[in-house]
Amino acid sequence: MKKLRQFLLLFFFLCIVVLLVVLIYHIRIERLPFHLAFYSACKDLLYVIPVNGAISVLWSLVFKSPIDIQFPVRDSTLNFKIVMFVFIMLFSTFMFQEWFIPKLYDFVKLTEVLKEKNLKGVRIRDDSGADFKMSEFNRLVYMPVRRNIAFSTGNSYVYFEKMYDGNGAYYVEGFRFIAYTKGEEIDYIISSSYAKIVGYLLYAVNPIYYQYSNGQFSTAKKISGIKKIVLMYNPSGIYSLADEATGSIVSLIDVALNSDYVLNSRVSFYRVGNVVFNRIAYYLIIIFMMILSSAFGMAFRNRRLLQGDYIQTAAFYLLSLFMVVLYYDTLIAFLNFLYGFFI
Amino acid sequence: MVRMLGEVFLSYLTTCWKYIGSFIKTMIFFIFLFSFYLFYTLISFRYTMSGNLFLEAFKNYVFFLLCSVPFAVILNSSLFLSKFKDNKRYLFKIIPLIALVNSMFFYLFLLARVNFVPLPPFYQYYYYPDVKNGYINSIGDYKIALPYGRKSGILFFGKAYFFNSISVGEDRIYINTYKKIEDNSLAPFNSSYTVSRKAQVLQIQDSGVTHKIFNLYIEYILKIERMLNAHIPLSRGAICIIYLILISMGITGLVGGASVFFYDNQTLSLSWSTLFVISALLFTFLPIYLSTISSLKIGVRNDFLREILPSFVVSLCALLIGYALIELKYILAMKRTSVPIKENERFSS
Repeated sequence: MKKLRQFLLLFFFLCIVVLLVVLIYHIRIERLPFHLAFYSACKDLLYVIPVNGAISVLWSLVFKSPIDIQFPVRDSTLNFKIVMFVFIMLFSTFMFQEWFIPKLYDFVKLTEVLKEKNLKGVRIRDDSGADFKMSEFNRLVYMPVRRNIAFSTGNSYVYFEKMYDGNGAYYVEGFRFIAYTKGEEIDYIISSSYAKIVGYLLYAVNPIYYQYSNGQFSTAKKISGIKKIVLMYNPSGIYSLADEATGSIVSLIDVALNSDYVLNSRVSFYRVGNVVFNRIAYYLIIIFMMILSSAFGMAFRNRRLLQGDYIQTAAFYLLSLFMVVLYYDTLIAFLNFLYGFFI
Repeated sequence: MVRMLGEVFLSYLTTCWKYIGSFIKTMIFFIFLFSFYLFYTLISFRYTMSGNLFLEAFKNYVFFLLCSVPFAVILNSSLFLSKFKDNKRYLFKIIPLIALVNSMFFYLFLLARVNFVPLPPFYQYYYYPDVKNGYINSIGDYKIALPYGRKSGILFFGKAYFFNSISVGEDRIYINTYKKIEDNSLAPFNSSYTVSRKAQVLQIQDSGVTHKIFNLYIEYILKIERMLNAHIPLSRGAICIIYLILISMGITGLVGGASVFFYDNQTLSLSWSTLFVISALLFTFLPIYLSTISSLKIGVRNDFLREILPSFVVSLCALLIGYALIELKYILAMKRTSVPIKENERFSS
């Protein structure tokens, strides 16, 4: 597994170098606080990963060490190792982009809010029980939040002004439920200022129940206690796809796991479609670049050890870097052109 | 005797033919290399122009490729001449021939005065999403729920509002609300909202390095075209052709020397990249080369010599550098292997 180790070492080394450089740039020159700088450095790293992968394969294939000459590797073995490397790289990139960065986004946002209020972060306890006290809502400040969430369940529309992720349970501030009849007239409205979601059940605290008859408002009734409402979708999906308007943090994992929410909730997920196209294009770009650079590296490997070819080596490093970047940019331009013209 | 001469002539002719073939291959390589420019112009044409966009963009791209002929000539001759590195005597015979072909390419490049669009900048594109009936349309920070078959619906924006009229304009949506659902009450609330329909297309960001390098390259092409047009008397046919032949002789000699010096079969990718970098460097030195020639012109009074002599001198210098590089390569190779290299291996039989 010598070659695979070489690929991985070079790849992670380049990634860490780029991460550090970008981090120092954000901290020293743009004067961002550390958590923000780290977040934007992680996002910048994503643009560099395809180039890094292609370059690490190319460089470690082209140059030969004395060990390679002593114990030559068969081409089939090398092919297998390249495929292994591509899979490891894709998997790590996928987890980094789709799992780590959304988590980091929540953390950064929460840290900013807490900093504004001069509060320290608290580890949220797991309170995923159906019996809850009002005092649980005092801890909302310490939870990551998404705003302005609306979706439909069948004939009714649900609106959350704010939705908090409370480690197992979700908390809602400003809950509205507007139900329509089959004849598309308003049937009733439920409104409450606080609610808690456990599993697929929503518990609205002290809601007001507005009854309509024939599309006209008739009575308002205050219910003291708790009203149970069944949600049709997984609340984690609702929470994680809430950022649909900006589309900055939508992960493919959430889209895939909550496809019923995406398809049935009647929310026009324009942004999500765009993001999904971009993400898939990104992974395709990685695979395509890896195939081309590994093919080039396999075909034009050095057949001898280097003996003072300093100029040639420097030129190769320079040109391969430039060519890989050019290739990456050309693919991106091609995909943007495809999206702009046809999709 | 005559037959032998004919064979020699034929071998030169086939070499020339092969050179032209490799030039075509280089141009095909360039089509892929510069396709970045094509896609950028296509995207920008879509948002700025009307008519047959594809035809216009491809025409523009062909002009761009025609303008990069000087770089193609330098790169191709360096790649082609490196094949003859084991055959010194043949190399000296073939360089003038290839220089002649190169001068032809330069002449064609000068004759074809073409214009192309400069590389458009990367800018953010926008679109106007539809407001679909039966859906919750998220437009900006607003969410507009429109139940089927109704003109009225619900607007979600911090709170939930009922609206009774909505009109979708070109780039704006006008909404009049009549009721607001609050935590404890359902109150009448007459207000009007204007929502901007404009939404960003989320494009994949590129690194930006290529864009800068392409801008530099285009600037350079235009500069070289301007300089060649300024320095070369196109109106005086014969003198112009002699001038071009002399210039391309110098360039080809220099390129050939450098390519032979750096080429090695054993490290193919390294030597190819070296050749590429060297030809790029020589391409950037082309304006200096031309301006050296024209600055030498000043002292000469004779009209014919005025055009010919400076280019002859400078080209001779370049040729001599190329020759020195080739000789140096052979001396170094002899030193390394301490076995004299056989000449005329390929064409001896």
